[in-house]
Amino acid sequence: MVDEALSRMSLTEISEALVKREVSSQEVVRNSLEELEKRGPSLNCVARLFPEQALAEAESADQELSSGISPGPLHGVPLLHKDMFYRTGKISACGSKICKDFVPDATATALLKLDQAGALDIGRLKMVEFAYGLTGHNEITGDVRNPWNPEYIPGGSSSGPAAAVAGFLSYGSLGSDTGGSIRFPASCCGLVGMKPTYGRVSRFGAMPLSFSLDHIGPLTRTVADCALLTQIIAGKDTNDSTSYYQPKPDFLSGIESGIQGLKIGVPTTYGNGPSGFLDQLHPEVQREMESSLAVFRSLGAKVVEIPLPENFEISNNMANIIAGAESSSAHANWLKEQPEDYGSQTRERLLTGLLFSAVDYLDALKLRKVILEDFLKQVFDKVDVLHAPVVPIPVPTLEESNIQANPGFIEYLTLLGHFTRPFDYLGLPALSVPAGLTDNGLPSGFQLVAPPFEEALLFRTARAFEKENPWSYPQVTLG
Amino acid sequence: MKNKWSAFLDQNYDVPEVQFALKSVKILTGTKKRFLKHLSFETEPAEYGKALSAYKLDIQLEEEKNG
Repeated sequence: MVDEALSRMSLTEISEALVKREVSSQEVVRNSLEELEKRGPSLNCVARLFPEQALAEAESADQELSSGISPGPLHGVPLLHKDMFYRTGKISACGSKICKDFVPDATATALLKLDQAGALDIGRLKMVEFAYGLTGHNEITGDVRNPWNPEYIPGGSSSGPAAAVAGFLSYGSLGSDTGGSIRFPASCCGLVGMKPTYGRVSRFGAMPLSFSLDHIGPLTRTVADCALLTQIIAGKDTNDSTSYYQPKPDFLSGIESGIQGLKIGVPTTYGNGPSGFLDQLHPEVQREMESSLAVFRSLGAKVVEIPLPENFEISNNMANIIAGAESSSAHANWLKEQPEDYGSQTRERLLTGLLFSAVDYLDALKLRKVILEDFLKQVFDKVDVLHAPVVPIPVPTLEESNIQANPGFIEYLTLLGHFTRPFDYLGLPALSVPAGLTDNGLPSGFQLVAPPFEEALLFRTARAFEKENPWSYPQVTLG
Repeated sequence: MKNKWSAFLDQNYDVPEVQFALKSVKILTGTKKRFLKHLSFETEPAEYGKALSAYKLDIQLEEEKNG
């Protein structure tokens, strides 16, 4: 019999309950497996489970606690992750037909860090094919459903993690963000999603899409849960040459200290030009953005309008060039030998990448430093964090956003990453936070962006908002 | 070895996904031209990483300098 109260506990709550021995790891794992069996199919979010291993590890976790060992912060907590995090001997299909039998011979550093914290790895969650797409559609493994309403997209590419966490099937989950793939589904499903600073979290053992833009981070139901998971997975890794050694503050210790006097920037125009970053925002999403800014003002923050650097306007396009070139390079052999094994949307995106010249690619990489420096100076010399939307439109249905059935949606498809992709390009930390609901009853989130390695500031700011504007999941279908 | 991807392109030049890809490339590459003049001759891609990782250190040094 499923214990819904147990499923609805946050990651922090279940961790505390386990350490206090109010519940055993075996009980929690059995409950999770029952939930996944009962409700997983309706969301189509589960790629595969490791039930026997999970129960054996849960038994060991309980025994360790009985014998008086000092538990890690996630001792005995079951988690599921996006199907692109490698574990030796376990299939990582990456949402594809091509890798359906791929068994890696290494384990992702992020998973090893979760292991060390005591977490139990009980399965993998579906995703967009090779993580290349923001809507969540997948022609190979089927579309994941949004727990708020199964007719709507969950967002992608971390579609399974978003659906599973919002649907109380996992207490948190690791995703990846190359153009918005953590923040976008977090916004669609009413979750907190962290894209850390480029280099803050090792990508070793995670499927590469675009090595200059790939970020690893968590999706959770609360800000504290997100801070906890980020704390655990962050840090320099000798296996990832792009990870940086940076001091790692305790993301949780100052999280309750408020935001009195904090300067929050709202982007306006590019330079002195006529167009602005928020020009194409849907009125319903804009309404939720304004509501969230009113909450921040009431908490003592100062909200100021701020023009963005003129060159920031091209950051989305530059990111698309880099992602296109790097992903096409990674997929070159399969593209040559088995193009028919890709879904048509993935193949189209990879095809675009093959058509860029080496000069286009290098220009996009070289411009990144120039745009970053201008952005840091013109934005973060004036404000502490930047506030922006995540998804520019209300969450669409699966049907209306399927470009095969509705070719007209392609116009929106290019717009979807407008607010997220530029911050992958610049590598800045960005945290997606639930703001409210649009008229279709689906969630809409905002993101907070900070200077490099200032994740702690983002968690503190988001936590202040969350306390004032508590979020619940009243419409999530549990039956 | 036969390059199946090239064959795919040749056979599908007029299909929407190929046409869309060609159009995308033109749009994406066209926007960078006016900003390229800001790149010096010596600019290297790796300078981005330095700018990102040194930002906090630079701020701290400036704060110390300003007392």
